[in-house]
Amino acid sequence: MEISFQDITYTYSIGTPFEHRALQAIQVQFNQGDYVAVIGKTGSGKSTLVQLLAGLLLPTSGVLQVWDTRIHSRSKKLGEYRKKVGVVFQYPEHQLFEETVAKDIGFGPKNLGCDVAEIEHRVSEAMSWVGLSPDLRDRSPFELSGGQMRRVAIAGVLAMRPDILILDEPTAGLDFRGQRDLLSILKRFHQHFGCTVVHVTHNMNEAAELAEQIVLMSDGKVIATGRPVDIFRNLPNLQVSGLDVPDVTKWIMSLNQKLSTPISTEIYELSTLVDELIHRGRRGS
Amino acid sequence: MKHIKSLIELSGVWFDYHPDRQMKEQWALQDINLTIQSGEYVVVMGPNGSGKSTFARLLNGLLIPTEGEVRVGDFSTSNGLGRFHIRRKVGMVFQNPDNQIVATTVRDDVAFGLENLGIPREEMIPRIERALEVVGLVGFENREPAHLSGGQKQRLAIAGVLAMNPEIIVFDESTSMLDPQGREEVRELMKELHQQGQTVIHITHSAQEAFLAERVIVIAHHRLQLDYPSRDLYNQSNLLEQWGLEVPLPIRVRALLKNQGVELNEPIGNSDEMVAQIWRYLSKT
Repeated sequence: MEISFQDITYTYSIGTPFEHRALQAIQVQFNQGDYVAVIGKTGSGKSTLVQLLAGLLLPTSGVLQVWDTRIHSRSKKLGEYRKKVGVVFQYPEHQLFEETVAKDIGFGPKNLGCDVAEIEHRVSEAMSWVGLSPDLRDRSPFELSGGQMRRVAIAGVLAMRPDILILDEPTAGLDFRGQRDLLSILKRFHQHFGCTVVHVTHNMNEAAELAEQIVLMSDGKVIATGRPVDIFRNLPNLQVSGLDVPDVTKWIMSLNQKLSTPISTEIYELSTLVDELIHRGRRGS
Repeated sequence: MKHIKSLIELSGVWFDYHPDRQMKEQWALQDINLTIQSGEYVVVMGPNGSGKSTFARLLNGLLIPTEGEVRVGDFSTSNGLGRFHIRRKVGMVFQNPDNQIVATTVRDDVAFGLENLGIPREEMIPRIERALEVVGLVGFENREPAHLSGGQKQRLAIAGVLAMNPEIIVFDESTSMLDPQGREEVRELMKELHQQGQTVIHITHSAQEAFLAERVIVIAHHRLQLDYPSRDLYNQSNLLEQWGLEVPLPIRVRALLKNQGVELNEPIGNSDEMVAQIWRYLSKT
């Protein structure tokens, strides 16, 4: 367990009428290199949790231990730590600012102190990761389509080669194809570099498809954590948290109402479901 | 033959933001012809950048066709008097609930639009009460909108529109920023409004939401590509893939089965019918 939240509480605007406890007694661990999905409805504390992990907020109480770094309410000088963490915020295309695509993507590596050749290399590599054609390098990011702008913003974070990659609702507002493309980019990037990914979402299909570990949050608390099957098995827990099972699980459940031998609800890939149906069809169900 | 007059009529509509600078084949919307009757529940699907939000904005005269005409009832959006009347008939609910809230209490927020219309106070009060009742926010009158959940904020935005007694409500991706529970609340409300006879037009990328409507229109590459009753479209919804749109999960399962030599050919109009067909397939072998 290399990343561990130890009894963390976070309260916004302490001592003002707007005081609000966003996180309460959070105890959770992530394994290095895992793909972690954080799910929960609006206001459940997901974004606050990842902002702590990014070193952007300090816990009000408790300790966040990430490898050899201990982050607590009086932590200072997190600059070195933050260099290891890349954050893709919600609607990251709103944060593009440079004159050209290449400069925007190169901004992070430049701040990390990379030399010109290294910046060049990382920019080209990141563009190819997110599927941006090299001839867009010298274009203004503001002339691109919304989907391309999102890719530029994400490439800028990938180019920093973070040890921890945090994504807050990365597919929000994209159309279906845009969502599918981005998810496959994230999956390949994670497999290739083996970084720890923490992906905040309220899309259960994404969580089921990508995550090795899911953290379910509600009302500023971690309600449950485990593999996707452990989380999606517990329907009442999800419903109390204002969430639902993935579409494929819902559909298997409606099929199971008619079957004497139910199909496993631990299937999240359509191709696996289809194999199972064909297998049963041949065998005679 | 009795001629039924359409509530909304688009004839030969072309639109671009910069018609003088753009080639006509690149205009944002091209040659749109369609009619919508009073009481219909219509979904408009389209990929990012297809022109579907432009379409929504043409319906109430926020945008005016560069060529052609949009008529609502007896009025045209092409002249000032027409727009004056049409803006009272066509209410719009947008994507981001936070951008649509203006007042510091729920009651005042609903009152805002009515004040602008110059509705006398004695008429305002019952209208506000009724609108809050329809959206299920009775008891929230004095609450601060900032403290509502995403779904509640969006329902508040809908109440503000309803209080103005529109004939038509256009939802422009109004569920896309909400969590699963918020989405469900807004979907339910759309269904209820439709059952009460309201004309509902919903712009969305979600296949799940599209097939809740009676009629589905696809706008892609700036043109109207398809206009079907949703039951008829469901069975051939593989068509949606060519525009990068989401194909309903049961139809994807059927296509994967077919690839493996299992052909289920009975036409289906919804998910339950696909469940029944699979069950028959498994039972007969």
